[in-house]
Amino acid sequence: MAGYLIVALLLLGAWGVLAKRNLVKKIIGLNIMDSGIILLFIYRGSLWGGSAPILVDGRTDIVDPVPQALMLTAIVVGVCLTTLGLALAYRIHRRYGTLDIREAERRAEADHD
Amino acid sequence: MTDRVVLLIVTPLVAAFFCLLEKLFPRLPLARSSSLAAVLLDLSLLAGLLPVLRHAPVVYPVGGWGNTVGIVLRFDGLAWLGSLVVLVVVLSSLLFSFGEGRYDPGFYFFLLVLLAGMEGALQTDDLFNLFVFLEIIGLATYTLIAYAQSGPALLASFKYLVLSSAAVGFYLLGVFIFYQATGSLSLERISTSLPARTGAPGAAGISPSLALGTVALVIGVGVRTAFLPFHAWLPEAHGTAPHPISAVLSGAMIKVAFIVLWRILYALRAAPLSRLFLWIGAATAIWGVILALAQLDSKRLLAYHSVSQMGYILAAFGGGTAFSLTASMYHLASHALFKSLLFLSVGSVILATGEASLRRLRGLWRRLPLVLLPFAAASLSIAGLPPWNGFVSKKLIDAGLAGQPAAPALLWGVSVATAASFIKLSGIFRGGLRRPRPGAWPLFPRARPPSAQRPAPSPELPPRPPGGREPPQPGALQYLPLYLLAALCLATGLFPGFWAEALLDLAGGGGPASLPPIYTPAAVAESLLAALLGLGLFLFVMSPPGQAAMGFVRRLHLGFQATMYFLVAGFAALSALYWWLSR
Repeated sequence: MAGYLIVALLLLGAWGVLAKRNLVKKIIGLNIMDSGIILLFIYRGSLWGGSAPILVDGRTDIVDPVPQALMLTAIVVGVCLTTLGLALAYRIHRRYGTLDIREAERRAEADHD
Repeated sequence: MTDRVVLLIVTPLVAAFFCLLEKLFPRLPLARSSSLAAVLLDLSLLAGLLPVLRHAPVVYPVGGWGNTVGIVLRFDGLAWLGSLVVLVVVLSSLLFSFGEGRYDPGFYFFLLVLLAGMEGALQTDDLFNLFVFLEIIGLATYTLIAYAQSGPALLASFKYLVLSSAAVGFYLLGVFIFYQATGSLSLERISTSLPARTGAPGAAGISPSLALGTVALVIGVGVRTAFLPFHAWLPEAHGTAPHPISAVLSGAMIKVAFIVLWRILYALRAAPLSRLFLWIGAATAIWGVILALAQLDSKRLLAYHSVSQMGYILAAFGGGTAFSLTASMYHLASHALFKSLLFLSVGSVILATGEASLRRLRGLWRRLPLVLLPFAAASLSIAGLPPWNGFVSKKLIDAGLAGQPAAPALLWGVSVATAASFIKLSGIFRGGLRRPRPGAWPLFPRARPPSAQRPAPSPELPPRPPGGREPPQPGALQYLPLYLLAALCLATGLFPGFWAEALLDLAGGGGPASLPPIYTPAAVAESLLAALLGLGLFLFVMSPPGQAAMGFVRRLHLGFQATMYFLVAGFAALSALYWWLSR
């Protein structure tokens, strides 16, 4: 059940990136998609065992530690991308006075010619 | 000894740190000296690695952690070739930006981070580590594209960021699927555990989820190689970036993505998917060259040619024989050389005139004769004329694809259009002897603005980065990389046998493939015929009906929303196709 919810979250994010024309909403969609993927990895890692992955006294019912480690990295990368994306969106807004991607493209083409 | 492999990645990162120190000590030229030192050090490390590679790939477990939990670097012949190409291109661009002299330490910082990312992506054997290096490359690239902060560059950078981040989302999904299926992230371990699950490679079927995962990984990387449905970001990004960065992106970055793609396809035993690249590559080559022919902006024309030439490389890769793979590597190296040379020489023209539009650049042979020579060398190379390297690699691709049905003929057609578009581009140097007569057949009909008073090349320059100075006329430091690259283009064209043998050796020696003679009269005649037909095509394009057609073609450039939909549609189509082909 949780798995389906996570996939739904992922698809929701992808829809935001695709269909929304607002630059900031695109970045938010990207964030939601990232969260979906992160949850997917964490969920899969938690399917084995139940306790924290600290190897003492020969405990074996630990969760898979690899996905958690991976997703820490993925979260950091996601933050960097979000920051840069928002900074670019801000600059584009200052330059073209719009956050709509199509409108900005049209104005850039007019600039170009 | 094997530590050298990781030093290739670490050196640029350390030097990047020193670049930022220049902000503390503005008197010292720390950024420029440390970046040059890093590239030269990397080159010498690479030279030292060549004799080791002759025996076996260098395998280096980072931090001494073993294959099960740690990350392993695998440095093979392909990675060596990729590193060499990357370092030569970065060195030339670095010298060019010294000559240009208007970049702050932050620029060199990001350039070195980009270099470290590319070196890492070439070597790593771990899918997740590859994700990290891809994102390092990505973040450095987005920043560098937007460096000049002009409107189109900001927009191009934003589009590239969203598109490739979405593609990397697919990539992570692919990593998830393969981790689920094999319990490992190392390409080598995934590769050895796959046949047991899916039967003999290529023979038995593949489960839908693995097909989906394979295509997800391929697209996550493939968006950066810009093959057909995913190409629209490249002309904008490479056309608006600062000139040395355009050279690095077109010359090195897309090659790195291609080599990574090659790795993944082989490790995942996706032979049906690799064969598909013959057609994807041919289609990319045609589409790229048609759009290139229509462009009016000089750098955008070059950027579309990068799409088209990547199509050649992918088509040769899809041929699949040891011979066509060698041809693919050869073309990879020659394209890196001549395309970075083209970007740098056209960049010199734009710097000296402040004008990028083909409508207004005319007759510069008198003003910039020293740029004309390397530009001519690169144009002859890309048009595939002897004795330049483009001729050799295109002939090798022809010979490698000899058994395939239609692809060689298609690629020959592409070379005709390539010749035509470079005749068009060379208009920036031609002419200018006399003003066009009013009733003459107009080569560039809209060249005269309504005022008709505009002085030929306007002295104004595009927006400078903050703190920029007046641009100097091209200096010796700016010419040095141009002539270096031109000499390399000639050297790799003159001794095809030697270079091809070396490549075969690097690729792990697919047996002594007998190299056909390259400089046969028939081959030379064929390429001269292509150039001649290209002249005809050029004259057609410049005639009024041709101009109308080209105006239509220019409007076929995909907008961003369309690009995003194509990403999803391409993903769905490719997974379905792959699953169906490998049933």
